[in-house]
Amino acid sequence: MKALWHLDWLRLRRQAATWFLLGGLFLAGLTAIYLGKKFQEQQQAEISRLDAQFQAQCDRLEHRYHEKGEHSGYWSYYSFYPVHQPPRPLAALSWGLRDVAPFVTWVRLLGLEQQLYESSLANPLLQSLGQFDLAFVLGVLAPLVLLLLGHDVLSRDRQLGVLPLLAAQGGGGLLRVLIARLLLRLVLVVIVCSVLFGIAMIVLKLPASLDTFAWLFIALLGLLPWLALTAVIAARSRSATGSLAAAMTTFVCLVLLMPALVNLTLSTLFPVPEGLELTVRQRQVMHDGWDQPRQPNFDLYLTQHPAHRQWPTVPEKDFTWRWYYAMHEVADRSVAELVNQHTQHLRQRHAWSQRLAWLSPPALTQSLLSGHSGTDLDAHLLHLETTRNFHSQLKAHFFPLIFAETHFTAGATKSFPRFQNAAPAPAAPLNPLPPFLLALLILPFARPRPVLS
Amino acid sequence: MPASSPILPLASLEARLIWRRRASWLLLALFTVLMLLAGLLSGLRQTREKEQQAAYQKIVRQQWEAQPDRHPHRAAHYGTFAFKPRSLLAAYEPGIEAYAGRIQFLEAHRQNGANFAEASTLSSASRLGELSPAFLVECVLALVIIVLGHGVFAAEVETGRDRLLRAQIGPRGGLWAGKTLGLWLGISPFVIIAALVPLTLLFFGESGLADRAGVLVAALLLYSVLWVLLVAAISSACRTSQAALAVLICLWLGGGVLLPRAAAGFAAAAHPLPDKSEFNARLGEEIAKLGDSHNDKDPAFIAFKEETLRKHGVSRVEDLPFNYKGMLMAAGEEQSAKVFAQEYAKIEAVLDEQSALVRRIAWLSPALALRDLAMRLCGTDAAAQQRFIREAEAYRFSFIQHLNHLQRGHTAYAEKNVERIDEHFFDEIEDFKPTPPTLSLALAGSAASWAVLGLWIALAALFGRRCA
Repeated sequence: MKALWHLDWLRLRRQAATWFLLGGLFLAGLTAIYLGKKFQEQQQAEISRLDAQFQAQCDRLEHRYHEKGEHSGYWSYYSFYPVHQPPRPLAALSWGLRDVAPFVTWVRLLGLEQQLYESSLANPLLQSLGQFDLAFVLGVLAPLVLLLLGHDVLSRDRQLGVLPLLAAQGGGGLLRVLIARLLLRLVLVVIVCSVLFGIAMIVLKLPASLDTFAWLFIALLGLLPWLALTAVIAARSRSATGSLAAAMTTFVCLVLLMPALVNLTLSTLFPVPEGLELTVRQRQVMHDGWDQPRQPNFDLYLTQHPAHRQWPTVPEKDFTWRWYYAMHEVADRSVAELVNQHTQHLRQRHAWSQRLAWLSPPALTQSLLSGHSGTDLDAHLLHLETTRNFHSQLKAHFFPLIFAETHFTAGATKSFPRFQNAAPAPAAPLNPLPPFLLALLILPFARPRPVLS
Repeated sequence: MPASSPILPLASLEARLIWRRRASWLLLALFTVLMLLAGLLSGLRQTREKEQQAAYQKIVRQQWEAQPDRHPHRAAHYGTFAFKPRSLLAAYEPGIEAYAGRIQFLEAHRQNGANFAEASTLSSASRLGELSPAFLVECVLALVIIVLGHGVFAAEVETGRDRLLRAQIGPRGGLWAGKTLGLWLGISPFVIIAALVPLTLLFFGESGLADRAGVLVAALLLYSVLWVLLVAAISSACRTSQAALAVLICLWLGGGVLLPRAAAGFAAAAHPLPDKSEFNARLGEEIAKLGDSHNDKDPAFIAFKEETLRKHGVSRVEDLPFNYKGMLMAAGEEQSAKVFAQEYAKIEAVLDEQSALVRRIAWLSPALALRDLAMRLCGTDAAAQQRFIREAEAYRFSFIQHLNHLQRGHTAYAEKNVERIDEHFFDEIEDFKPTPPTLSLALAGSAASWAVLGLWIALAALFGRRCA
């Protein structure tokens, strides 16, 4: 084995293609780390500015209302409160949905559902072009390099006519040659990937924890199915051109076509129509309230807040803030069932996409890596959940003040509730071993063709 | 010796050779199945979403007309929605569809962002791409041409047949033209299958798509010619067909898979957009400076009030021949709309810078250039999105001003806005009517992408002829 490796290494070392591919992979990795750092820095900067922005808003409120003492209902209409989800450190390596789904949401006391779905400021053109993160480099490009380095380990020698010679040396025949050569290439790719990850750890100041290394472990596990595929292609093909064509076909099918087909199928089969419905319905309920008798609507609100029965009935003719805000909550409640359905449908589609990811190793790697980095759909749904909770907290704080017809007093903003204990989404608890080990089942097909075929 | 040109016989020989290979039939079958699948699924989805959107558009209109008697400013807060028009052509190239909001809530005092971008509700594996007919053309068609054609010259050199051929043809030349034409003819069934998709959509889609679908097919043809010439050029420049294949795959991978993503990453890093909090904070500050136009005693509007009173020669707003509050609301709306226009223009400038960087990188990637053209023609490009946002905002302004005008003319000045106007006033307001997409609108600004395709074709042709 040692001799085989040594000879093979001597040959590999002299080939320009080896260095071109490994160097290309390394460069792509550095690019991804640089872009990931930028990506993370922009998000962290955005989050770190929230406090100052909120304070500026409070100062404005103090400046405008400390003398006039406007009604709490009035200035509440103009006050927004930020909620955010900080990134896990690993999010810089696997962006997931963090570039398309908002992780900062400013809410005010009005109906919440209409505040949740506004797209963030972003360039949809860039988003549609795809992401260049380390998960892409290790999950998509590294397998490609392995394929390109390994698809012709036998067919080249077969073409040159030295295969019988190789098979005759030592015991074990071609299979031994195949295994030795592929393992060497795997080691090279793993080294490049690990070095890249090491650089990423330094550049991004990732803690040297189990959690961090688990990310690399998943990414490297993702190479296993590709090792098996490379082995089958290398073993079964007659010519180097044939094996290259086979390698490219496999790559295109598994990386470009299969995940894309799965996505298209899922979004066709699992439509999520509730978003539109709940916006339209919530608006209708809220505005109908203006044309209906007010007390019945306010009673609807009281059914959930018996403690607020202490406040006098709302007048029918005159505008009152307590009726106004209560109506917003009633409107939110009228779409609660739809919101549940919406979330359920999203989770259902997400679960299917995770299941079908088994059909495509790169999709599975992406799915696992973003799950582990806390950047997938679950993380976004968690952010929406956190936002809903904070909104309830705001209402619990301000509604009594508004209902009691209080007015702004100097220094009132100091006691405003602030979003606290912001936590990144937890890593998704997924066991990556079974699907990847499953891929090794195709290894028996990697029996080399007879020497003289 | 009759001096008949060798080009046609060479071409027909080359094309026949391609179809003598089993792999060609296999690839064609696979390509056809994928195209059918992509076209069908995409088409189904677009049709369904189009119908859903039309249904909601109708509901929103009905709700608007079913309004009871209301104060006009109440109706202005009730607001309405602008829907981005959908075309079935989007089934061919969905472009930015999933990433851009397509519904804008229009109300008084606020330019809302477009909502409901689908991408934030998908799984992260969806970022590996979505299967669309256009994607199959940009990536898979090019790869098919590479796989079938990389040996067109190199294999002849490898086997030594090239000398034979040259001897037969003699000094007239024509080897390059004949074989290249043959390769194109050979792969033309793939091009026909690809072109059938936009043409089929014509039958099921809305009317007036023919010219855009036609240009789409033309772009597709150019792209296939480009790759045929490129493959021929590399094949004749390389000594072995394996080397040619390797170089071509690098080109394909770089231009089709790596560059688009890298372009997006660099554009976002080089020209960062202001974040939404910062944007909204600045917007809030600017708007706050204007004063509150609901409040006719707001100090910011004292000058405006005095000016109005002086113009009409009265001393109290109650004596004006119209409701001063409606007039004030209109003045406030005009000021805030100006602030919105000015702030959103800054965002658009950054978006333009980012897109310009991507377009510059597209000089290295014909796939990016073709994608740009396909998106424009299918109405799924960034320019169409910006047009929608601008038009929706213009409509919002006229819609709100119409309501303010109703308040000014049909309600009386009072401390509180409780008076209601007859509901028929609301029915008179027309719905948002976006400019229908046309070929000339789609092609405005596309010169660079055509030039990219043209330049690559010219270079590949020149280089290929010299090497052959």
